[in-house]
Amino acid sequence: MTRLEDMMNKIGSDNKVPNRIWEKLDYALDTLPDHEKDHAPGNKTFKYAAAAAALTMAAGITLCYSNPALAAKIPFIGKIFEEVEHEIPFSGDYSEKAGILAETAGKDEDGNPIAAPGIEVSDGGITVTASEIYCDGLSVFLTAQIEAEQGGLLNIPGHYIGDGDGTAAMMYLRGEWNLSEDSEPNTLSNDNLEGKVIDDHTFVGMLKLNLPDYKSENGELSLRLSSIGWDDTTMADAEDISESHRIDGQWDFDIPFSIDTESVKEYPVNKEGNGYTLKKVFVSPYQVVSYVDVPSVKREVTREEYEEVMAEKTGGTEDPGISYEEYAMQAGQTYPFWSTVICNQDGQLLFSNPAGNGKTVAAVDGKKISALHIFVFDDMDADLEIEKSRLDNENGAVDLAKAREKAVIAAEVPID
Amino acid sequence: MDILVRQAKKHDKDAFSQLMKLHTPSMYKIAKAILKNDEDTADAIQETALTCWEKIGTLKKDKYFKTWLIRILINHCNQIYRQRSRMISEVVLPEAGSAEDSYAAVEWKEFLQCLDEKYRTVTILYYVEGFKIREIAQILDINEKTVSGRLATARDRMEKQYAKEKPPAVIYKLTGKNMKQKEMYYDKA
Repeated sequence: MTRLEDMMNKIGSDNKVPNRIWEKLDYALDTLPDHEKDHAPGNKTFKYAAAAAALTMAAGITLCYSNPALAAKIPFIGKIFEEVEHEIPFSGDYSEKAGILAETAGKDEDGNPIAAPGIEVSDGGITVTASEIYCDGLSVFLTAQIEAEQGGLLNIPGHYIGDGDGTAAMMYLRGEWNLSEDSEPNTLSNDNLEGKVIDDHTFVGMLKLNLPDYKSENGELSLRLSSIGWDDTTMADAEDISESHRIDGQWDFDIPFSIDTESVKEYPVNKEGNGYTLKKVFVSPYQVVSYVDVPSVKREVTREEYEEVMAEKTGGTEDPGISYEEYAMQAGQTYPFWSTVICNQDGQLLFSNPAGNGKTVAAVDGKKISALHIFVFDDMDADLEIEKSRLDNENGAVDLAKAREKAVIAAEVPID
Repeated sequence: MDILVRQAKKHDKDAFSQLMKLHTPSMYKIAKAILKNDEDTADAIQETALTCWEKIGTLKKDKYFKTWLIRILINHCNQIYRQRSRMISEVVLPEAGSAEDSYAAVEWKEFLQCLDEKYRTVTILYYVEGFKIREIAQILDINEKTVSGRLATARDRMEKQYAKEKPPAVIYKLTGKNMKQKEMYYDKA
């Protein structure tokens, strides 16, 4: 038993709660309101303060919305990258390169871009305005403003990004997207709008859509949103655990974009180790994308296994939503653990998430890159040990020597 | 438990109160792991009770009551934590950790001193509350790898801390009221 487990056992078995906790809880429970809308007397100060703040805010918002001249002085359309580019995952200087969609409709008397018809779409009390678009050939980066009539956006919590104390807020998007030449649409999966809340009704952020392969020709993005949702610090729906608010509707966009071909370069690697192959890496000013061939193992999936898994998943009462054949195809091919860790020449970690099929997409986040150190691990403990080695380093750098020792593939790639 | 949840959803105050009291030891440990002191912990639990009472009608599946409750608690703790961080330069806060009467007081003190908030939260949820890594990832809105990494770091740091110092010896002495009072010292030899 580790020291931590021993400590947790003692804390876990000690159920004593100090009197002051009980006193405050008892007071709250004794004064619960009879009706949902009533306020608890014990919470008067808090609620009154919140009400006063809400009133002040509502007054401000009403003033802004009822006075077009004042509203125009909050010019986010056409400048959303500038507003959020350093406070989102995959941060960088996008505003220098992005195409401003709204400029096609001209500018107002103060020189602020006006949203073009077709780029602003409203449904269900939500207005989405696509603002700017950029493509480095690996991903399409689209900024948008979301205005919610119902308000409440100030309750969206921030989530930590990168390694520091920086946070971003998020709007959940559901729907499909594809490029004009693709026949099959891609489902939006963990592709959300990340950025910041401007006021109780307005959110601005960036959506990053990873392309399956490097693309070097201009195209058109077709985006079909079917729902928009957000978390609320005062609510938590336990069924989905997040997305306390969700509005279904239809917001469709067809947006042409050009590729910034000069910004990205491919570096072949072709290094092997323990059945894994690090094939190549793409580097753009905003991201590094590596491709690894991961050895797979095939196995037979019986109908009994399928039924057992589905019964556990649904409790035997609901439609499992997946047929035996589909399940057998998915579960019949298994991949061993793999993880790719990418650092720059100083051992600074580029934060990443595996994107499936051996692909890893890492954020540059403004770090200088003259060389990349890429490590492929086949063991989770080794991977964690290396990521953790940053915590013991005063500069927060990965222990490159240890990583070389633990990885099945270690490659150093000089960057032009 | 499920019966209490169903009754609470019908705005039965007694059932709701029972439910909250049943979960108070869990809420106390989680909130204290984040906020470190009992005063803020009491505020977070009180706010959580009020929010849950107001929102319990939105709970769709009764079996998720505890997950739902803890998510709300953590949201309140984070709000208090942020407010406190902003005020820290102006206000002198009470000293952290005051579970004098608790038999695990020594463990609490060491736990709060040795680990940062982000490690304490996952540790309590995993070891004490028995949540799975996937559930913790959902509750905290972070990915599973981050949860595993934080647990590994927490274990590692405690081992290093333990290796650095010999375990604290505890001496009991009788007070005037014939009550045990703990005194703790670290043998530096």
